[in-house]
Amino acid sequence: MTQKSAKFSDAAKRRRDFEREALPHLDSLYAAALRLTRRPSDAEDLVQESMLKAFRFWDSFEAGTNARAWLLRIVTNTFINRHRRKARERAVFDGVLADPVGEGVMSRAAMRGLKNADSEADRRLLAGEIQAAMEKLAPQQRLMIQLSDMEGLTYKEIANVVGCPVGTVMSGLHRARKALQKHLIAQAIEFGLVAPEPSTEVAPSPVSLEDFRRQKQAQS
Amino acid sequence: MSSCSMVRRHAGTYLDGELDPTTQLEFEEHLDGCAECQECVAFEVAFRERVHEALGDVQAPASLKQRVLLDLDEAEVQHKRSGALIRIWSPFSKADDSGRGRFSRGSILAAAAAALLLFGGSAIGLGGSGTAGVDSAGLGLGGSSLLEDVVRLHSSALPSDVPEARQETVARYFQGKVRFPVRPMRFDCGNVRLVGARLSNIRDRRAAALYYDANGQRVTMVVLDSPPPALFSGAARVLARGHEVYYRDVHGYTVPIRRQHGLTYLFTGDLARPALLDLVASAHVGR
Ligand SMILES: [Zn+2]
Repeated sequence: MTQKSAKFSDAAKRRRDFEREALPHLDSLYAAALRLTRRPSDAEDLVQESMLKAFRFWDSFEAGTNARAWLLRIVTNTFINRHRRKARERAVFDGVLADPVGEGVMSRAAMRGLKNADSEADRRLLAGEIQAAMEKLAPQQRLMIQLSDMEGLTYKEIANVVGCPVGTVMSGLHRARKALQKHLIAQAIEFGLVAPEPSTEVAPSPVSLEDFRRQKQAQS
Repeated sequence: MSSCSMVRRHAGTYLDGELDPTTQLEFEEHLDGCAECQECVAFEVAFRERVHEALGDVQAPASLKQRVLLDLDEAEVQHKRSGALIRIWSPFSKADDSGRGRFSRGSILAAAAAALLLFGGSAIGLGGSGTAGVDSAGLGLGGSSLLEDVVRLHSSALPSDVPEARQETVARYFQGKVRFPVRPMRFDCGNVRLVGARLSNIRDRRAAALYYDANGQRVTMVVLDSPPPALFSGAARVLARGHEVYYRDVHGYTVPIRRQHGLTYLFTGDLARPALLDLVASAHVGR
């Protein structure tokens, strides 16, 4: 009897804890899943599968740590595993990030043009273009944008969710944002929001922070 | 000025607050004296605002939460069936005579006689000792897991799914979620309030769970459309307030059963059995 009721209420407590800790993050998880899968129905399936997994592994969650990050990692892993099963998509999470993106130093005119395009219509147009540009990014890049810009996670947390080094998060976010900006500028020029003007500045080396620091030390 | 390209290249990292403190300071010093880099940073800020607008605040569809909750129910049932929670427990064992604790409902029934008029029948439970069938519901016989699910649902005290526990809100909440119209019961006894509702899995089918507060104690009512035929056979039967009330004992909880307008209502609660049976006998579909 005692053992029984202990087990019984353990199960109940486990369920309650899970609902209290995990369910409030459903919107975040769904948003991340949407970035990964791009289709609402796939995103729902992904979250559903992930939540069930999370519940089964709930005992391995360390109370007091960041439940949202833990759940996001499960969503990401579930997504990767699903796609790995389809062998042809082996490169879901690799590859595309290596695409070179220019340093994306755009002309002041372009920057001003984009910044000033903030009538209701312009905004709607740009929002549509950002969405379209997101579609072209790799899933990992879309996820990083989501986690950084929308969820406010740190690089370290993102690295943990995605399963990559922190440096990869930094460069991945940079590339993703530059790719979005590049697309945006091209569209803005097309729509006449920005005057076509070739980007004049080309970033010279060094671009790595380490080189930068070394150079600064040499100067001083 | 050679650091202009550096600042621009890492403007994103700077805005993310992810530069090391020394570099961060150098960036800020540089920005103080460089209008062009300031403009770049301002652009990055504006760009992020646009991204934020474009991606918007995504909300998971309400149906997703329901799917997840039903999955959890299912996972628990599987867990239970796999053995983790299966045990045979007699409500009449010595350990239970303390009358304390939420699982100890079995021993306080003698007082019921005053309030309830007994029917004849094979399985009258009010005598309190070893009546056949009284705990069969816990032994894997017909309808048992169903009753176990009801007890589990109650003892888990899972949160309500409805923001406000008004009769109409609750009725509307279940529309399209279960195959039958759910009308909250009213009770003609004591101080019983509807306090919440939740879509649940009882055995393999969707059921409506309604939460009540009876003088400060929790009562859960589950509404089903088609119960298994074995549900009533072997159940104890009493007459209270002129109504026939069947009940079974499951894991120390009394589970009264009522049928009304083709629907089956299963109750359980933290009340002593007589009080619960009286409450259930006073129940009627609200108007
Ligand atoms: Zn500068």
